[in-house]
Amino acid sequence: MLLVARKNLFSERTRLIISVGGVALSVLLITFLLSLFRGWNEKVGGFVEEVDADVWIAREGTTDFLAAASILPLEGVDERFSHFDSVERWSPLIVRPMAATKDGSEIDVEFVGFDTETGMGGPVGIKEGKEVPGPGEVIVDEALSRRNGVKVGDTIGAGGRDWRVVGKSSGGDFVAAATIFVALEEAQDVLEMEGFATFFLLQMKNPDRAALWARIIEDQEAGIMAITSDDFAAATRDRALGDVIPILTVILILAFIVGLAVAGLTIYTATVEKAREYGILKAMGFTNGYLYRVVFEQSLVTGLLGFTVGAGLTLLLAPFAQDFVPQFVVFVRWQDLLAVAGCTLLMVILAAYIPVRRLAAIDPVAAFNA
Amino acid sequence: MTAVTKVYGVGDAAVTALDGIDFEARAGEVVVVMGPSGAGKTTFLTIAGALLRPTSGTVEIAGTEVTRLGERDLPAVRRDKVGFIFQSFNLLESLTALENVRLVISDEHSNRRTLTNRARELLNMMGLSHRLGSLPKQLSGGEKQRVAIARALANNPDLILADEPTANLDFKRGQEVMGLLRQIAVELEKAVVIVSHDQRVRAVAHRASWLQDGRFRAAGAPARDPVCGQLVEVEGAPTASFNSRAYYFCAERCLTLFQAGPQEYVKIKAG
Repeated sequence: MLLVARKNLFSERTRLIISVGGVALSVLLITFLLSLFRGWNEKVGGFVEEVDADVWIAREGTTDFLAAASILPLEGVDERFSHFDSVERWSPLIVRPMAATKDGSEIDVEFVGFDTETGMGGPVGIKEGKEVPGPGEVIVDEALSRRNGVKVGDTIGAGGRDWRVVGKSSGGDFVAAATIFVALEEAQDVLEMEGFATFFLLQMKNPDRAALWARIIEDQEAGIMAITSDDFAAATRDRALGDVIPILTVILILAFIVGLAVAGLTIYTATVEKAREYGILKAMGFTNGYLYRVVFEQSLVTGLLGFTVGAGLTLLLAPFAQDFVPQFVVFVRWQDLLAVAGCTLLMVILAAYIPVRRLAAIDPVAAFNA
Repeated sequence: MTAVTKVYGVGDAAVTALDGIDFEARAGEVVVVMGPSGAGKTTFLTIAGALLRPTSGTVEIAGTEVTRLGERDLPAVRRDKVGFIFQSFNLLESLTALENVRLVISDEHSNRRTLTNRARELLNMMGLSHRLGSLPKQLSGGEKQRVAIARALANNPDLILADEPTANLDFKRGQEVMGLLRQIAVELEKAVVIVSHDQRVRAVAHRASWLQDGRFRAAGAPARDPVCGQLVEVEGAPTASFNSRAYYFCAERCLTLFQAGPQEYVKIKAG
């Protein structure tokens, strides 16, 4: 680093703290928002991706897992799927968004009834207690335990009945809601859906060709839609986060502008304050290129320090974010940190641009003014 | 400098700051350029230092005709062939004395330690070995100017240009600085050109030139304008007599003020 750049930057501690703080705040905000988006994205589509199925069958017009209003008759399904050699096995699944209750307070849940024999559509993982719920029993996602204090042994109300919590599962957190699992027959009974299901989950003999078979099934079966797990997960993510993305984007842009403004203003005022000294350097034979480098290095180091502080704080605080706000599910990816580093670089280049223009206009003759 | 003219502005607004002047300073001599305010001294200095281009005429520094060079080449001439000493020292406030000198040394072939040693050597020569790590704000005026002189010598230039080097110093420090500049000219074989109002500078200079209205005139004994206090070349200056004594003025305006109440100005001077 050039001597003048280093001295200018570090001799004004307060200014340095303000400019580094501004960039750090901006980086913190950007990385946290990105990580929050990644966290939500991971959670919202995660369950659909993790379910042991290659193709989901639903009533035509169904958009996603969360707003599942599909109703499919179970009668004759075995015979219909037997025509498709590619189907390894299938299983019905009932999903209904609803409000469960615990100690009088309401909890948003995805009420899931799965076939306990196939296990398809059941809990992704078991953290505590039973793996298969029996009559009157429910397995709740750990997110409910964390956010609402539901524990194994508790009783919760759902669908007009009380259920005893017998297990705690993982992988069923949708941030705004979480899954609770009961046996398929219990769900059919409670929801008065005997002989019906919300989805059919298909396991294919060749999962790599799931998309092709989904199209074939959809073409041959009237009134249904067939979609691969990946596409259904993407549709669910889009449903949950589609409206959030534009808002997040605006906040990200504002965070970038805040960082740019703070860094730009502090570097600009530092340049203006030192204009006379830059004029002296010009008079003594220093080129414009040297002076540009001085300003750019100051800006770059400010950005580097700001990024280090901002990203460091993100990594430090992220693991505890959910402890303070349960919905604050963050997932910090190194790719995002790399992207934010790129943003910071862009920020400091832009922040140095106007001061550099100011430097070009400094007349070295001014050094002779007393 | 040969037949150098500098005109600012165009048409009716044109002002001729230098009017076809010739000037030469040789290695080993101190030349002082004096003159009233607005005479063109700063323009002269900035053209001599390759900071400003003349409207016409040629400028040569240590064998390089700088008026022929492009803008891109001028910084190198200023860095390597000219050393500047400013009225208000113009040290970089965030750099120590050593760093101020070290910064301007432009020897690409030497390592950092060699350059630092050279800066240290120059400051030692100026009697500042105990002030190497001091910031400008911790130095006295005389010390600052000595750091500035060391900085001007950093690249071993052929020409030293000093703008009012004693203006911000008391009598003693001013004398010391002038002695130092003469010593540099003589012992280091540098051409030292000083622009100054200070009469003391004449005592150490080998030559004195009087610049007035953009031209050099014979440097006779100057008189002090009793109204504004400026030094005035007697020849051609507005004049008035009072109490059997002649007074000289830098401009008609001072003469008019004097004539309206000469006792006031003479009394002040006497007082």
